[in-house]
Amino acid sequence: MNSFNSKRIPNIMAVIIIIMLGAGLKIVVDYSLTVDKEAGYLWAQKIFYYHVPSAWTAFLGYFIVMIAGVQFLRTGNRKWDQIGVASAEFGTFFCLLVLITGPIWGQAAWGQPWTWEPRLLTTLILFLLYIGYFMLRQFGGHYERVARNSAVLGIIAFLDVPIVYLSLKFWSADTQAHPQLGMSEQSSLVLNVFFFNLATFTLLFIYMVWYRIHILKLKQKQLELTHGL
Amino acid sequence: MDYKHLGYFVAVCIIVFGSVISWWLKMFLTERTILKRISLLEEEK
Repeated sequence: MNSFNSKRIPNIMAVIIIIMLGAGLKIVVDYSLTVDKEAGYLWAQKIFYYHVPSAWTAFLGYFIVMIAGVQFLRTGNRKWDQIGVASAEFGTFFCLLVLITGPIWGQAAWGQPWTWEPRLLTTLILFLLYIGYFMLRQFGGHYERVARNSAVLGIIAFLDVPIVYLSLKFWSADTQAHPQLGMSEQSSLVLNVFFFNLATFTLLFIYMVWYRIHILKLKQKQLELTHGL
Repeated sequence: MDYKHLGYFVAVCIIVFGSVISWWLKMFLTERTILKRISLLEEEK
């Protein structure tokens, strides 16, 4: 089995991602508008262009975990378990970025990094659910049982994703601290920069998951060689 | 210019880019270690 970086498509993808990350940063720094025009914190407002795409990528990761979980329970194919684990890892990686970048923005906008409001709380619960997922994988016992139980947990944990997304509508406005601005209300310049970063993060996620699955396959091969399977 | 808020933005950029680079590096080093072990195991056989 060859190195992931000796393959042509991943290399092209990596170059595209580096260019897009660099271009995205340049656009955000030089051209992006503040999302909330009345807010007086322009620079901190630019955090939005990294915070929201991270959240989107985390949701995408957890959606793939759910699909992979269903497919694993249906077919029992180890490939789906590997896809589920890799997606869960990077979904949680991006969820952690959301939980770090959010409070930095909150410090500028609210004067405090954290408030116990619905969206923050449901996002924290989502993150903790997937910490539970990894604890299960680490300490769950035999591989078959771990794979089956984590597939079930991945499906159940995904139920929190729509709750996070719709939390602004589920709870009354007086409990909310999050900006209640719809994307349709934004100018095209804000949207163009936002969607550019969204595409970059999605591509980065696909690349990272692909790389991780490659490593999981290598580990499997190493295990087979070690035990002479 | 509001340097305090610029600082928040710079901190986010360092965290986002730094963590992405760290993860890639971690995967690259893990892969290299496993590939070495696999080639050793194959030589033994």
